[in-house]
Amino acid sequence: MSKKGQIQLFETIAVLLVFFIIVGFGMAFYFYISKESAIKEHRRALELNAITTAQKVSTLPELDCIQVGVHLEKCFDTLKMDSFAKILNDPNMQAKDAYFDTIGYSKLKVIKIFPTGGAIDIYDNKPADSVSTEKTFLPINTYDPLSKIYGFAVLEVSFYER
Amino acid sequence: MSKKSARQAAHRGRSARNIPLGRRRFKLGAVDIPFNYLFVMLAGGAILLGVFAFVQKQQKAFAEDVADTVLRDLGAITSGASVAKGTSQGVDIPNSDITLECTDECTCGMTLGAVTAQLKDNLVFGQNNLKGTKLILWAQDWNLPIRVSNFLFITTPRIKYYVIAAPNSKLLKTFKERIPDNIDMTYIEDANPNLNTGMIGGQKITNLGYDAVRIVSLSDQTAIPSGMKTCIKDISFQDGDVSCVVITPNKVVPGINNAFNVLLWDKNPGKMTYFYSYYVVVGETAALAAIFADNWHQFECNMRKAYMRLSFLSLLVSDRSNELYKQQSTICPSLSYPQKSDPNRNPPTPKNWFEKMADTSKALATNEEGAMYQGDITDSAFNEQPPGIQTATRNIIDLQKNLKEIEAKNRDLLRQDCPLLY
Repeated sequence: MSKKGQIQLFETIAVLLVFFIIVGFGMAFYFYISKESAIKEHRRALELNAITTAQKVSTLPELDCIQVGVHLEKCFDTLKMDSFAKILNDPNMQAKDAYFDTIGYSKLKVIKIFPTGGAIDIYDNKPADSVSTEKTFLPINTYDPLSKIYGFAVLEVSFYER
Repeated sequence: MSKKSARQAAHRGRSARNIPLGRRRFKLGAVDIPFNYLFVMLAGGAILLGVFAFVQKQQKAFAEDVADTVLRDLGAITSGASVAKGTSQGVDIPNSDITLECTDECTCGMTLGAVTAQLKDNLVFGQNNLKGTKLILWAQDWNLPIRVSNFLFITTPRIKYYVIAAPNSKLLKTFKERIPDNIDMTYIEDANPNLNTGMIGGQKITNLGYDAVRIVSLSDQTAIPSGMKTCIKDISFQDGDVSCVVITPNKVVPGINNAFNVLLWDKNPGKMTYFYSYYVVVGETAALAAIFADNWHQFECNMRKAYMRLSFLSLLVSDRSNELYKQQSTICPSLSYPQKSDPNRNPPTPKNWFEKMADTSKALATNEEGAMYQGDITDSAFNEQPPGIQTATRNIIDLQKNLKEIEAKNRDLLRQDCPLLY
């Protein structure tokens, strides 16, 4: 091969090498950005799921307060809370499976603040491969039909990430 | 070629052949340049191919990403709309072709391109193909009067509903008051419509280019007028999506006026023939759901899910009622609360209203026959008592009776200022 030809070939290879290095850097940067945005998107989806679940739970007829036939917004009946927890945690009823579409892999806890303290775990469905938890808090009213006393509580929805 | 040049060429050939191969001196410069071009072209081609494949892949991924985002946002909107009962809202979306479908196992979902979002527990009733840039969502609660769940009705401005009833029809008045104005409904008063010819209210209904047309026939009488015992067969609907629904009151249980007979006429694909499905439903909202449901399968899947919810809700209210019963002497001595049944007692205590209601609604949710009957359209078959519906009808009647008793009891409790049953 002539010297001129060899130089031209080396030139071409060098240009290609530089080109591929630039392309490589570009792709690495692109995939890094894509990964970051995918993580952000995943986080956003998780938060959205947690909020949606909290929103759904706060309007469930299984928990809501009814006053003179009128449904009260964001109010939980204390007797209903106990009964719902009982039904969901009864393995014979298979209610956990039936409500999975509504509540999914999450934990529902009502933290009572006023007039008494304490907490009620209504539902907990933690998958074995859970990696983290996204928590959402929602202030709610409570109503005790026995004493006819209203209270204040916080609904804690922990959404398990797999 | 001259003799001299021919001799010189022959000599060059001979002398080249005489030189050993390793020491031969070719004029390689003449090959170098084309080789370089060939190499550059091959490398360039490979790069172009790589870039093209990458762009293609990215384009596909982007389309899926957009579909995923739209469906996720739509899912959030759907969930939000589902919990906000009574609201009707228009949602602007990118120009899309969304498919709303339920599988044979009643897993319902919305599909956009290659991406499907599960609707999970959202009970969504709508036409299968939702095209365009706007969706209209309307949520209504299924209140029996125990509030069970919200039904979400979904439509687009490209879907047309014709609602036909006799003049001064009570049912038409009720539905007209409930259905929001942003849904494209045309109300036609006609005592004797003829769906076979499409002549309704003095005008002929033809396909005006809508994505889907639903003819809703309402009758205040239990018996269905003869002109409603079919669905439209106008040739202009040959390629269009047209279906019919007939709703009449079911007055089997005296004093209850919220049960309905529903007849859905689904078009046989590619033909101008129909098959019908017959249901008995409880609650105006369930009758409204039949108007918006694309087909019997979607309607049945959602109703089964709703009955299952009612079953669990009944058990919950039964448990709550038992707690109230235990405290009865202090909270409401004048009235009694239904006690939970105890099979271990001697004699065993019978099931209370709620437990019976739980059994009935579970039967409606799981019964293979469902609350429906399907058949071919023949007048003789249509006039007969559909055999498959009998069990379901019995269950519906039981459910209505229980609901009536529970409602009366709740009213009494309200009068005495006692904690209510539900």
